[in-house]
Amino acid sequence: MTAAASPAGAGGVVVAERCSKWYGHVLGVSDVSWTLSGGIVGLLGPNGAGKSTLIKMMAGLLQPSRGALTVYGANPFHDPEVRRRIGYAPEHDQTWDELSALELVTAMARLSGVAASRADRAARDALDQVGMTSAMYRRVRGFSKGMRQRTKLATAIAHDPDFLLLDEPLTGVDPMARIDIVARIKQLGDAGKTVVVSSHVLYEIEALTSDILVIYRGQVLAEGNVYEIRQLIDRHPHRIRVECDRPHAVAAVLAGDDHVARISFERGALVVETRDPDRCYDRIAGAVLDAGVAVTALSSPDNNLGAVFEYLTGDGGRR
Amino acid sequence: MSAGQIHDLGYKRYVGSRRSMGTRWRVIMRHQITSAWAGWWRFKLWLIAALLTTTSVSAVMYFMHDRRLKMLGGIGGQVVKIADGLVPLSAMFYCKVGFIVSLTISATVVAGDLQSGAFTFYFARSVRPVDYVIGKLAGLAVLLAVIMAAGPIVLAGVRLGLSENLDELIDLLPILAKQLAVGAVGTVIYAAIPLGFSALSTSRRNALAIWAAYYVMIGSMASGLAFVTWPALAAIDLPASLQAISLHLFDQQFPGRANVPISAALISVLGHTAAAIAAVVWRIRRAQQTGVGGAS
Amino acid sequence: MTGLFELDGLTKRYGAITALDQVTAAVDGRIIGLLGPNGAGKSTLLKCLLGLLPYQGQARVLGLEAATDGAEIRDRVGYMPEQESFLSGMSAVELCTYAGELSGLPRSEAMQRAHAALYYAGLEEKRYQPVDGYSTGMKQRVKLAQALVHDPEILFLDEPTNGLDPQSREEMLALIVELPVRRGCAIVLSTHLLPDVDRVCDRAVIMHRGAVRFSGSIDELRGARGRDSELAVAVKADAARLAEALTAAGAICRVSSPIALEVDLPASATSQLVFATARTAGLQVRELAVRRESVEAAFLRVLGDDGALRAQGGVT
Repeated sequence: MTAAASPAGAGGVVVAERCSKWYGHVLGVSDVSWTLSGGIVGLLGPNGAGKSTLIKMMAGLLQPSRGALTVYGANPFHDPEVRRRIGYAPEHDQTWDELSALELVTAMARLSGVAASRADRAARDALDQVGMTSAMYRRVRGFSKGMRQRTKLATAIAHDPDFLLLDEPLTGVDPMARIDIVARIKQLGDAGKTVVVSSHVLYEIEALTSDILVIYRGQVLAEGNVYEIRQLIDRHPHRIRVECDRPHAVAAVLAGDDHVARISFERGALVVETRDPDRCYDRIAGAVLDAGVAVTALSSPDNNLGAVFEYLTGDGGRR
Repeated sequence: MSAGQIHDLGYKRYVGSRRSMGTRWRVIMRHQITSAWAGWWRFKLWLIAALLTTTSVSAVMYFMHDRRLKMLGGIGGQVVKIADGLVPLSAMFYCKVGFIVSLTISATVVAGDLQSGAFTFYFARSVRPVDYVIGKLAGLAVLLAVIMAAGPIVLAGVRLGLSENLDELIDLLPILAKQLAVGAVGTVIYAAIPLGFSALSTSRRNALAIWAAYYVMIGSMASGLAFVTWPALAAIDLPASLQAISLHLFDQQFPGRANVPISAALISVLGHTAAAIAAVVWRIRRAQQTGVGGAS
Repeated sequence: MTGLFELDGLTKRYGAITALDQVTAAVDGRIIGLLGPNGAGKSTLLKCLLGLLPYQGQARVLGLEAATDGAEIRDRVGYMPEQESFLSGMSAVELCTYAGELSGLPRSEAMQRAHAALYYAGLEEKRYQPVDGYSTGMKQRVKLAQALVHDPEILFLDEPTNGLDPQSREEMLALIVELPVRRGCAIVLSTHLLPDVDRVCDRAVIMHRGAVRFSGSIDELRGARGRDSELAVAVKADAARLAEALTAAGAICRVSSPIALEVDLPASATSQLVFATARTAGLQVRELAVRRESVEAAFLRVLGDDGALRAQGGVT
C-alpha cells in the first residue's frame, strides 16, 4: 500500500461519520462510518449494496440524508473548491459521441475548473497519460470499449485532482488494454494520488491493491488489508492444500493435532482446514520430510480476495 | 414392502421434428397478434370504437335509408340516398380508428425492435429477413383488417338487408366485394405504410412522431394545396386516397368540388406501400448484419 | 467425426478493411475460449459462422457450409449475446418459448423446454414477470436460457459474466462448466477475462488482426506441464536467505519479492530439497508449485510484444 503524499487533512482524505442515504423508501447506505487515509483502495460489494451511492456521495453528486461525509475536510456537495480536487469516472458512458476525444476531455476539464487557456494543454497531457496520443482526434462514436474507458480516465485526471473515484474502469476492456490501464492507475497511486476503484471483477482489484472496503446491504462490512481480514474470519479456518503422492501419510501426522478442524481428500491431494496456519505449515513441512513424501504443490486456496469476499457476503454478513 | 425408485431427471435431447423454415413467419405473425391483443389500449379499445362506428352507421342507415344524402352525388349526376351513400362514405370513419391503431401498433414495430435489441434475438435463430417482414405484415394485416374491412363489410350486409326485394338484393351483391376491396386497401394503408415509417428511426418515439407528422400535417397540407392547384395532389393525404377509391368503386363523387382522380389515388397508395416495404427491407437487412455479434 | 467448426481460407473484407484474412483452422473441443483484442475479427468470425455475412473461402459448422446452410446452422447452434436482446413486455417464459418456436419447435415442446432451460439457468418465480424489470444477473440468465431452449449442439457465449457481481459470476461460470456434461453441448466462450478462460476452458483460439494466431489446448498454450524442476516458492519471510541456502545446495534461484522466489532444482533433486533447506535455515515454506505461465501471460506472448503494436498506432 502506498502512503498518500498529499496532505489529507484532519482524519483522512474521506471521512464518513454515521452517514446514511435513502431515496424515498429505497436504502442507499446505512450508518456508514469510515475513514480513507490514502493509497489505492478497492471498493467491493454485491449489486445494489450501496457502492454507487457511496461513490456519488464522495464525488459530491449526492448529499447524505443523515450524518456527514467530508472530503479533505469539506462537504463536496456544496464546496466547488474541494470538488476541483476530485476526479470522477462514472460507470456509464456519458459521452457525447459527436466530439473527438480531445474536445470531450477539454470540455470536461473546463467544467472542472481548469482555466480556458490551459484546458487544451491539460487535456492533451491527460490523453497522453492514458495512452490515447494517436487516437485523440477521432470521434468518440467509433471508439471501442477500451478506448472509451481510457477517455473516461483522462476526463477524470485532466484537472489534476488529488482524489480519484473510478467506477468499473475496466469493464469490457481487452486484456492488453487492461494491463495498460492497470499500470497507469498504479502509477497514479505511486504519484501520491488517492484512488478508489470499484469493480466486480475481483482479480482486477487484486492486481491493483490489497486494501479493500466491502459494502454489504448498505453498510461497511469489512475494511483494510485483505489478508488481515482473512485472519479475522474465524468461521472459516484456513484451508491449505497439499498435492503429493501420499496424502494419507501427511494426513496421519496432522490428524493428531488439535488446531486441525478438518481434513479432506481429493485425488492426489489433501485439504486441511486449520485454526493455526503458522503451526500447520511447520507440521506439514515436518510430515513431508519425515515420511519422504514428494510434494508437487502447496497452496492456500482461500487466502485471496475472491474467497474472502465469498466468506464475508456468503454468510449474510456474519463473521 | 414395494421397491423404491429414483427417476432420472437428466436431460433428454430433442429428437422430435422441427418445423420447416417456411413456417417461421407464422410464428412471428401469431406473436404480433397476441402481443397487440394483450392489454386494452393497444387494440381492444379501438376495436370497440370500430364496433360502435359500425353500429351507429347501421342505425342511421336503417332509420333514414330513404332520405337523400346531399354530400354525395352519382358520377352521372344521380341522387344518392343515405343508405347507398353511407356505404362508401363509411371509409372515412374507419380511417380514424385505423390511424389510431397505426399509432398504437404499426408505427413502432421496427423501431421498437431495434431499440430493445430484438433483432439480435431474431437473427441469432433461423429467421430470415423475409420471414420477419412477411410475419409482421401478416400480423398487422390481420389486426387492421378487423378494423378496416370487417366493419365496412357488415355495413354492406346491412345495406343488402335494407333491399326492398330479392332482385334489388341480387343487383347489389357486388357491393360486398367492393367493400372487401376498400377494406383491403385500408388495411394496407394502416398496416404496411406505418410499418415502413417505423423502420426510419431507431427510436420508437421518433418513428411515431414521423408517422403522425406525415399523416396529419403533410396530409392536410396536401389537401389544402390541392384546393388551389391540382386535385391530384390531395392523393398524398392517405385517407383522401382511400375515400377516392371507395367512391370510385361505387360510382359516386363529391359534387361541386374537385375530386381526387382515381389514378392519383391508386398511385399514391401503391407508391407509399412500395416505399414503406423498401424501407423495412433495407432496415432489416442492415439489422441482420449488425444485430448479432455486436462490436468486434 | 466432424469437429465443431472448420475454416479454410476464410476472408472477409469491408471495403479497404480486411476483417478476416485467409483464416484456416479446425476447431474442436468441449469448452473453447475465443480470445483476442478488440478489432481482432472475433465478432466478424461469429457472424460468418452463423451465416449472417457473405464471405470468401469456406466456413463449416458441424459439417454445414455457413454461406448456404446458415439457417440450419442457427437451428443447431445457440448464441448468448453480449448486448441486450429482448422484446419488451414479455416475461422470461414467453421469451424463451418464442425463441424455441422460432427455431422450429412445436409450441408445446417449446414451452416445456423453455421452463427446463429457465430452471437450469436458475430463474425461479421471476420467470413470469416482464423481462424489462430484471436485474443484470437475471437478464444474463434469461439470455443463457433462450440460447439453450432448442437443444443446441454448440453454444456461443459472448461475455457471459458482463456486469455480474462476484457471486453471480461464480454461479454463471459454474453453469457454463457443467453445460457440456449436463446438456451435451460444446461451448465457445468469447471473453476478455483471461482468468475465467484459465478456469473454464480446455482449448483456446486466439485471434489478432483478422488471423488466428493460436489454436490448441490450454496446456499447449501455456507450455505443457512445465518441467517439474522449475518451481515457484513462497515463504513466510526472508526469501533471500532461502535462496542463498538453496544456491549453496546446487539450485538456481531468482528472488522476486521479500517472500517469493523462483527455484530451478538441480538434476535428480525433488521438492524435498526445498523443504529440507528451509527447515535447516529455520524458514517456513507457504507455497510451492511448478512454474506455469498464466493464460494472460501466454496470451500476450502469442500476440507479440506491446511495442510492435503501439508503434503501429494500435490503441485498443
